[in-house]
Amino acid sequence: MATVEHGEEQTEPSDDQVRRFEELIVPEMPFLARIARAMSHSQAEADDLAQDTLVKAFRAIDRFDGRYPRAWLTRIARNTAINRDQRNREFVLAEDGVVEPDPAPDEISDPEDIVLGQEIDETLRTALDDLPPDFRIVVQLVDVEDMSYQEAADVLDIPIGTVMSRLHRARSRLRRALSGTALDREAKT
Amino acid sequence: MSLFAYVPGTTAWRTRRHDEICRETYDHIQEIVDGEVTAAKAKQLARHLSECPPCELEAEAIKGLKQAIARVGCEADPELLQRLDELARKLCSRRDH
Repeated sequence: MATVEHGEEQTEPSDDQVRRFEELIVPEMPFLARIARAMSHSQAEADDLAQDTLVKAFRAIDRFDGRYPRAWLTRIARNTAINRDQRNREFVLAEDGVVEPDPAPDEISDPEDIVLGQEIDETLRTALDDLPPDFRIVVQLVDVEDMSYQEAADVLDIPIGTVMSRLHRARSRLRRALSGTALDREAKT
Repeated sequence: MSLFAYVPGTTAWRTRRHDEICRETYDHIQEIVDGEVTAAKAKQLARHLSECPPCELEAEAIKGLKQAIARVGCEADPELLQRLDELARKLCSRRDH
């Protein structure tokens, strides 16, 4: 787990460093938490990744031009995840990026629909957890964070064709997992 | 395939064109739903979607999945958020120590 002390630099942060960090990065911590989870195999791994990324962002904030904080955080998180996976050698996170979700308001109001929605959400949550991180991050970036294919490809440093194929394969897996749920039944009617 | 399939206005021609557009639509249905095709192409394929139940059904299935993913994926672990908040405060307050 990342700590402030771990690998601590000797120099004190400047007022400007703190100000830019608080202004540009702190508001994006929910985004960081989401993409870290999407890039990780477990919540515990996501905790480490998010905290490591935050510390690296703090240390590098002076070199950040201030544009597109989410893309910048995603690249830091991605590189950190790749280094982590190279260390672990358990998984290969070859080409995923991060996405930032804009909570879509749920217009479900009918009690029966709410129950059906909960059924879908629970099944989908499990299916998303079962996806390999390199698939999950593409889904997260495109479907939740509303990135274009090109934007996702750029932050993940992978070809746009890889974004499309991973998205397609991930969605196919998710649809198989949702087979028989209300969402699937609805699609077949 | 009958030569009539290449004679505009014939039933065979309309069937062939429909099949071609159907294949093209189905092949690109993910990009259509994700808004990744050009406006002109989107208009052409949208017309097909409205006339072809299998393609329309597939598009609706992907749309429904996207909506469900957006709903589930926007959740961030509250405990992690709290830890990040504490870490950020420590990072920013180090200079005061």
